[in-house]
Amino acid sequence: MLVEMKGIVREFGVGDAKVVACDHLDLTVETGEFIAIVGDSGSGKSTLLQILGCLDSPDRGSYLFAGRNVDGFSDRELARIRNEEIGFVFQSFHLLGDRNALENVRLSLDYRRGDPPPDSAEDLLDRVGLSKRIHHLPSQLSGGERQRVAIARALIKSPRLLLCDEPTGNLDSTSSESLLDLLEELRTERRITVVLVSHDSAVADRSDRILTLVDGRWAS
Amino acid sequence: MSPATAISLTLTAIARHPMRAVLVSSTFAIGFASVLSIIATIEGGQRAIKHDLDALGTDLIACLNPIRVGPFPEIGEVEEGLRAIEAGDVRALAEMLGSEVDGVIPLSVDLVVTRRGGVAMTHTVLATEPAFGEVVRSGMLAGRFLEADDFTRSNSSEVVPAAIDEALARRFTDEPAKMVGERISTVRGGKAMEVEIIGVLNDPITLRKHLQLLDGTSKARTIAARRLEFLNLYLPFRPEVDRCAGVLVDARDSSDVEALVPRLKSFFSARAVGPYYHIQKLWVGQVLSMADRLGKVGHFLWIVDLLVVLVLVASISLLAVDESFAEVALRRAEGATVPEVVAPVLLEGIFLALAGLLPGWLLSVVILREGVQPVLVWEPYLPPLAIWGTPLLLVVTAFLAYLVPARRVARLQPAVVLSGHRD
Ligand SMILES: Nc1ncnc2c1ncn2[C@@H]1O[C@H](COP(=O)(O)OP(=O)(O)OP(=O)(O)O)[C@@H](O)[C@H]1O
Ligand SMILES: [Mg+2]
Repeated sequence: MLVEMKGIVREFGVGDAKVVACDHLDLTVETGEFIAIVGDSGSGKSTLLQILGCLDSPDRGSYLFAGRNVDGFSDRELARIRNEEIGFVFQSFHLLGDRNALENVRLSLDYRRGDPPPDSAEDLLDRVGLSKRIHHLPSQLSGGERQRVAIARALIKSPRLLLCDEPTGNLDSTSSESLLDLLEELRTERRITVVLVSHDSAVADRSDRILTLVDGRWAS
Repeated sequence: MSPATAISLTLTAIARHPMRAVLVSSTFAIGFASVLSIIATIEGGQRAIKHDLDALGTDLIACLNPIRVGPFPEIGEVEEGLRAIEAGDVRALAEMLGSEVDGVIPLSVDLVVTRRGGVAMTHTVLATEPAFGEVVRSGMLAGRFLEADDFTRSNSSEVVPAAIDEALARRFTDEPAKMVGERISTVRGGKAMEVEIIGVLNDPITLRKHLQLLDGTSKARTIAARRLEFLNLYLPFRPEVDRCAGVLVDARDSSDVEALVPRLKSFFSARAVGPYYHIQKLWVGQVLSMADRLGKVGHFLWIVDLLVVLVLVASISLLAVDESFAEVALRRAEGATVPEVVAPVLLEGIFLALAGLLPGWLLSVVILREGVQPVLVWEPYLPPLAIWGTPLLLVVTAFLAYLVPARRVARLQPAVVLSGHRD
């Protein structure tokens, strides 16, 4: 089991403005699984994904990642997990605008402590079909191409867990299809566990398991 | 992250924002230049004041013979059984002090009558040694002051070399400077002698300050004019002829005077000599403490200067770091620890400050050379402490200025930024 979450609570704000984004959520993810999380806007999907990605920590509950209790981890240990074990693909790409595709893909290598990654950035860009675009700035790439750079950036860590927050949210249906094909291929090729957030049912349908969030809780 | 990575990340960040880097570095450079200029101006001024005071005789201790110059209220009577200073005492004192002092200078004061053309003048003669000429700085002198050779010459020849005060020379001629090389006849101690003028001393104000102590010793002191105008002829001191009116001990520095006085006192009392000590230090202390206070104002100024640099740089860097929040958040998401995102911020400040050092130093040289020195005349001076201390202070200022943005970076929550919940 790669992920085991129990009773995760994450709240924002105080008093009347208080929002419970995650309300006692349990979640287990097996290695190699492809899970889709769906739900209305504001239901807590992104919040849960950030907790999964060790970018945010829950107010309550426990989170075991690959058998390790993440709650007690220091900034350094969390950074290392983010650096080597978890890849993140954001809805709005989050590429550095003044750096080309290659430099964007290499970003996490600045902070890598362990062995060098198995794939080179060039190979990965080639793998996502961007071998002719490696020196392009994000502004010179299409939406689908940018998202593929973001996927290559997540893959260079050779992560065990790939988290995608609405990766197709900014793409038309054709690009979105081909991106999902790519994810599918990579997943089988590299045995990566994928948790994907989307409110597009066509996207969710390609997963092994669909989980629905309603106001921070799982819909039964 | 290795230090090399941190440095390369910092340099890349600097290279990506050249305009910002130039602005920040210029702020450091200008701040550095003005701190250096303030320190160098004030320190130079203090040194100039001290040097001028020393040149005015503040480091002089005059040991005068009341017996020779006659008792008067300021000096008082010599104690019973004590004798006057003699040339032998001067020699012994010079031997004892050796190179600890700039000079031990015997002095005799006499009244003479000099005639030239139809004019006869009564005036003072100071017989002394070349060391006395220390006070006569260039610009104050046409020709030269007494030199070692003049002493042998005055021993062997009938013609005695002498320097003359401009005020005295004016009594005989309209163009005092032209008296150099001329001979005049004078009567000293009832004996006629011929004098050859080798130098003319002007700037009576400076001289008067220096020789104030002699007013009381001059036999001509009752003549009011002589107290105000310098009407002296300076002759070589000849131990076998001249009687000591006193001895001037020229200390190395005015700060040495304090320690020298008790030694002089015990030296003379051991020899049963009873001089009156005249030490020109009190008013000097006052002037020096004024200069000191000026220096403190200077410190205040450059501290304010550094604060301005701090505030300016902190605001620029704060804006800059706000712009880079998304990048920092992304780097955190990609596995950077808090220190790994903070280090490049602080390093950037330090690098830009270091980059400002050389231009700042050059700028300060220009400011001091072209702006300060021509106006104030004195030579700017940087104490050694300031030479390595100010760059260090500047780097500390840079560090402090970048601490504010660094704190913001450290506190940044990547999840909040990346999910767009910030703003
Ligand atoms: N940092 C934050 N500060 C305050 N409130 C927050 C923060 N992050 C999330 N929330 C709130 O928590 C709730 C869940 O937000 P979340 O972003 O997880 O929703 P979501 O399901 O991803 O929605 P969307 O589909 O629109 O992306 C929302 O009401 C949101 O306003
Ligand atoms: Mg969301």
